[in-house]
Amino acid sequence: MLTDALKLLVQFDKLVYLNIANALEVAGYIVIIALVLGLPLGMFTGIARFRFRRLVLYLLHLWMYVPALGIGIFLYYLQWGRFISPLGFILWGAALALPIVAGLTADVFTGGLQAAHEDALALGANRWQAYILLARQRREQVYGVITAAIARVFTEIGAFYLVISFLFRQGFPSKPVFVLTGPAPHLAVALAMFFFGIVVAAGLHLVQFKQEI
Amino acid sequence: MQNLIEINDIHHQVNASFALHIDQLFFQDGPVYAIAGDSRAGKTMLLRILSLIQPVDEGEVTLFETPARSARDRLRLRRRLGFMSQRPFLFRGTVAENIGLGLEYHGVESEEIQVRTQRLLKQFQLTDCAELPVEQLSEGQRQVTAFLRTVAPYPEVLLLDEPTSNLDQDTYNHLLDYIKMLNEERGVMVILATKSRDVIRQVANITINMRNGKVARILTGEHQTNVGNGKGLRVS
Repeated sequence: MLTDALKLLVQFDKLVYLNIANALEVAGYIVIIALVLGLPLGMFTGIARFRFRRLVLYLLHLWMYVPALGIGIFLYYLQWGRFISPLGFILWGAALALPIVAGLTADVFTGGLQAAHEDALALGANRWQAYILLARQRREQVYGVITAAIARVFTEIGAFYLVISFLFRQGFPSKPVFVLTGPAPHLAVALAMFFFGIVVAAGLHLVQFKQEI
Repeated sequence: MQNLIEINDIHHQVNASFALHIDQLFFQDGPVYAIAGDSRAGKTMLLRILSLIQPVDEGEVTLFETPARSARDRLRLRRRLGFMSQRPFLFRGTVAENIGLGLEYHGVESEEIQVRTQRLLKQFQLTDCAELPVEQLSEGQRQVTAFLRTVAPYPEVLLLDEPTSNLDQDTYNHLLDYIKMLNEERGVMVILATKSRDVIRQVANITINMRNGKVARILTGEHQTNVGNGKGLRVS
């Protein structure tokens, strides 16, 4: 099985790479939406001082650790199957990934940057200019958030798709679900995809590691 | 003379045991004001409120006859001020980049930023440090860099919190001379918080003494007025 999987990978098997492309496309949309919304939200909740900030941070972290499997089952019981569509998958995925990005970003910007934030404002920066300046001060950590978000989106969202697709008997747009729930020969394809994921994760981690050094 | 800054019925609870409370205080165009007092007198908090960095629980701050109510007002007014905090944060990058930062936010052209930065560095004999990363600076050089960053955008009002701490004697004298020059020749109104009697003696025209979060008394030249808790106080 292991040899078969490696063969599929090095021989550029059409099914393997089609599945990878599909998974990357869906996860890519989710990551982009989560980053565009989650980074500013995380920075705001990490830096700004407002009423109920602690509660917002608490809820973000709580939402961040809600298991995707639980959400899938919850949706099933609510009969929200009608929302299962390619766009629906992406939106649900983004809703799951958003607190991951926002929560991790808020952690990066909580504490230690208050003086920097005030000095940026004193220099005439508006709110967003100040946030960009602060992100530059913590760029390694922000990069870490982005890579962590990508990794967690793949794992969490993958699990979410698996449950949703299984419960609703629908597999689009996440083809890996067909692969994993299909007949035995397809397990080699799944394993090949796993190896591909490991290589990508190792590459991302290496870049992050070099940045931190 | 015009009131550049007015504060009315300010109350700000800093923590359970300390609050800043000032009924009325006016700062008029012209003199150098010193805010003096012991530690925990409220000097820094007052400067932070005047610089619109610190929102207040109650009361209103008016700068250049405009009440600082909305976020847009505060941003517009802040861009007419220069505020240097007690422990300034230098941002990643070189000395020149730090000095140019405020100018960028004020929309100054990059060529003009370079000209102004070089001129300021030359005045403080720091031209050789222009391209140094800020991590490599001494405490004194960091302090001067933060000061130059504050004055670079030509603020109309300069608010300085302990600007002379960490400076050697020559730089200390030069910085005080520079503050006097800004005030006398360029008409910049200066408010500085300090514990140093020498700083007050050298540059201040009016001294506001703070005690326990309230204005205790005002000293103008050789005259001294005890104003209790600052009620109905007018500084001119």
